[in-house]
Amino acid sequence: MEKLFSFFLSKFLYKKVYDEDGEYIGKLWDMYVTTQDGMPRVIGYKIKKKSELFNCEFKNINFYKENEKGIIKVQGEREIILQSYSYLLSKHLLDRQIVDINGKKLVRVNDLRIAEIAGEYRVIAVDTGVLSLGRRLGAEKLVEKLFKYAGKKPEDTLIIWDNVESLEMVNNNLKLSVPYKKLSKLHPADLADILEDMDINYRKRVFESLDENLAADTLEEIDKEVQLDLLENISQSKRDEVLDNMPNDEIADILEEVDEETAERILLNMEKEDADEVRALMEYEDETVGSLMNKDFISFNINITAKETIELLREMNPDDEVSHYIYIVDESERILGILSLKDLLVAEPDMSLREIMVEDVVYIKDSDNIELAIELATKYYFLSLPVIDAEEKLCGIIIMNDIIGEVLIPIWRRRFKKVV
Amino acid sequence: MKGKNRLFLIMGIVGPGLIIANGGNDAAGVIIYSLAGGNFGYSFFLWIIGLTLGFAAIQEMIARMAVVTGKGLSDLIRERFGAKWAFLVMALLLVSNFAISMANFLCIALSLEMFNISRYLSVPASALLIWFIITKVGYSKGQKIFFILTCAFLTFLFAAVTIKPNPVNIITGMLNLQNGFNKGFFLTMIAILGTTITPFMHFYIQSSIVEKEISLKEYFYEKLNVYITVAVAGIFALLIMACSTEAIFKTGGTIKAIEDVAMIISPFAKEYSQIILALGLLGAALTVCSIVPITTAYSTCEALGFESGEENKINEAPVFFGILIFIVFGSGAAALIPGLSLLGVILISAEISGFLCPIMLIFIIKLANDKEVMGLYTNTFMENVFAKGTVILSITLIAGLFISII
Repeated sequence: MEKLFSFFLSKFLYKKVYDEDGEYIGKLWDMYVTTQDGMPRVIGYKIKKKSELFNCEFKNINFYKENEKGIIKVQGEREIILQSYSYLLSKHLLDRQIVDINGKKLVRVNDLRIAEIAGEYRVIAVDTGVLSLGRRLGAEKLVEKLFKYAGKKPEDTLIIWDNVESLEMVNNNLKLSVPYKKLSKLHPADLADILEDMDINYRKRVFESLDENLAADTLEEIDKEVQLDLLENISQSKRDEVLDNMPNDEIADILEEVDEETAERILLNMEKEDADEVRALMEYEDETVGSLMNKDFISFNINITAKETIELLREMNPDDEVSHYIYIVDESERILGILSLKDLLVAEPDMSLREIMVEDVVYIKDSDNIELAIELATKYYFLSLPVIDAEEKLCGIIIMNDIIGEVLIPIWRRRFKKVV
Repeated sequence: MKGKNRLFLIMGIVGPGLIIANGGNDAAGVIIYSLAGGNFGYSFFLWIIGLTLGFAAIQEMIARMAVVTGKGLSDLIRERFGAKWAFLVMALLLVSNFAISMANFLCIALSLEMFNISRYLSVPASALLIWFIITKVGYSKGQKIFFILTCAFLTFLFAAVTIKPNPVNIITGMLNLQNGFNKGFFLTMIAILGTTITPFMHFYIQSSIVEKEISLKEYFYEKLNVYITVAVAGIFALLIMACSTEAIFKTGGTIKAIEDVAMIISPFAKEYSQIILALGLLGAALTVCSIVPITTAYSTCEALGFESGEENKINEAPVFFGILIFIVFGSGAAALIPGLSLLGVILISAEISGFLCPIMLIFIIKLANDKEVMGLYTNTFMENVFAKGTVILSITLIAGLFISII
């Protein structure tokens, strides 16, 4: 009989438990863990005896292997009432979907690797591979043979605990810890992909846990349909928070897809200035520059120096996509000149903006077709173009990236949908 | 609510629902109802009415599970019953779906043979067409095209109106079961069970409702939709059976070949009956042949944790594409085995589904009554009566079959 310091949960689940005198106590039905300090730590056991379930802890519990069979021996059995912050391994983790942080996708947990660390048992990794599925079906040997037959080495596909995020085992009661901490470190675009794959309940729960900036960035990246469902399902306060952090053109894009009732409700809860802007954006016809333009941009109508401008920018800390160009406008918001971020950086610090700006500005009207914007921007190598309204006032910018994301990729996907 | 108005919403939900109901009365189903009516008259009317009630309860449970959990049926089975049970259910589903797909390929063969197109041409061609639709076009678009063809089945309604079956005859016929309780009778009942409550439908419908992301607030409309479509499917089955009874059974004939099935609608369709039946069969069979592989592949991969999705490359999702290929081309090839009795194979395929039906239902009923899964939305008493009643009747039926064999 060999004592194991590291083993798979499935090898011992539903196996018989004996006490020090070799007397049968019951079957190991599940394990309680706490997630308060890193890797889930086992704090109790669910034992089933004669169709009756009871929770207990042991002064000592050891897992042995004899002739490939698992045997559990315990000492000092004591029945316990568990604190509410505990989870069950078999019920909340095994067979569930879990986020693989490195692989950036949802995977299903086939098995759990448990190890003894400093006298305590902890879940150190989850197994999502075919071999572990075979083990669960009691056909490990068969799967191994198949692997060898196919000329591959049978290996456990373990993902260590630090690289997974459980969707079930989240403690909302603990104020100190961030729920889904590991998820919130992902790039918004990756997080968006994962959220799209989740079922609606998980999606809502994870999304509500994100801080408002990340939530807004992620929402922008999510598929149109999923976006709507999320917005309609999350709480009012979260929705306000997120919309407050989103550029108005994105909000307008989303609201155009919602029915009027919902759109009105959302708009009424926004600040009036923003709501009016969103309404104006929603009025634009599809495929016009106005329908896709960004209302945020950087413009100055005072005469300041390059150095002062850089300081102002440092204070404003604008989003990446709007900070490529700086516009200089007159009192009535007509464009006088343009300045790229590079121009600004290489300019003499004491020169005024009006001295260094380029006066011959390439611009586009809000009623023009997007096609024209693409032509102009590619012709002159612009990352974004200034947009003017009917009164020739600077009213927004159109960003190449938005055109690619909203217009070109959908067309390209439809045309070249490749499968094999 | 997303739609412009409520009517639009209902139509939006009912539209696809009607297609599904037609899918339930798939090509093989039409043939089985015809066979049942032609060979046994009105004897199965009560059985179909009972099954429709059970089916309504079960479909409602499925829809409710989709809305409450937001998860597919195979996910729920895996999460609540573990890997072993999930594997077993998926294996059974694979067997049943292979049989269904094969039966529907045979229907394609039958329908195009009426236009003198050899099955050795029609079946491989439609398998390739289905593969193209699944991987390039998307099966939902394909469904819409096939649906137009399926409308040819409406002739059963017109035929029934033309025949005007006598209600007294129907009632005396359906209460007269003396000729029953032999092996053939039980087998036909099981085939009817299998084609009315097809296992793959539960998986398909649950995931399509999950995709619609209907909220609990809108659930009332979805429930209405479920009841309407099930009722339509039930009435449709009764119509086919009535037409078949009047045209075949009452004249002392039996159905031996597809031409005899065409006789059923001849009172209305006259000399066009073969063409109309062929078009209807073709549409329904193509629909089922494109839904079944997709449903099987998605359910299996989701339950067992394999990569899935048509947008992947084959080596990124080998199991997913393996199942698709197995069902589409494997069952297509099996349909070409020389010397098969076509109507016989169609019947056997429905019987396989019938045998597996109660097993699937037990899982569904357990899930729908599970507080951990459904929270406050577990089954009502009446729903359990209908659903469990269906299971008990089905098991009794299968037991009856074995007793009659011994």
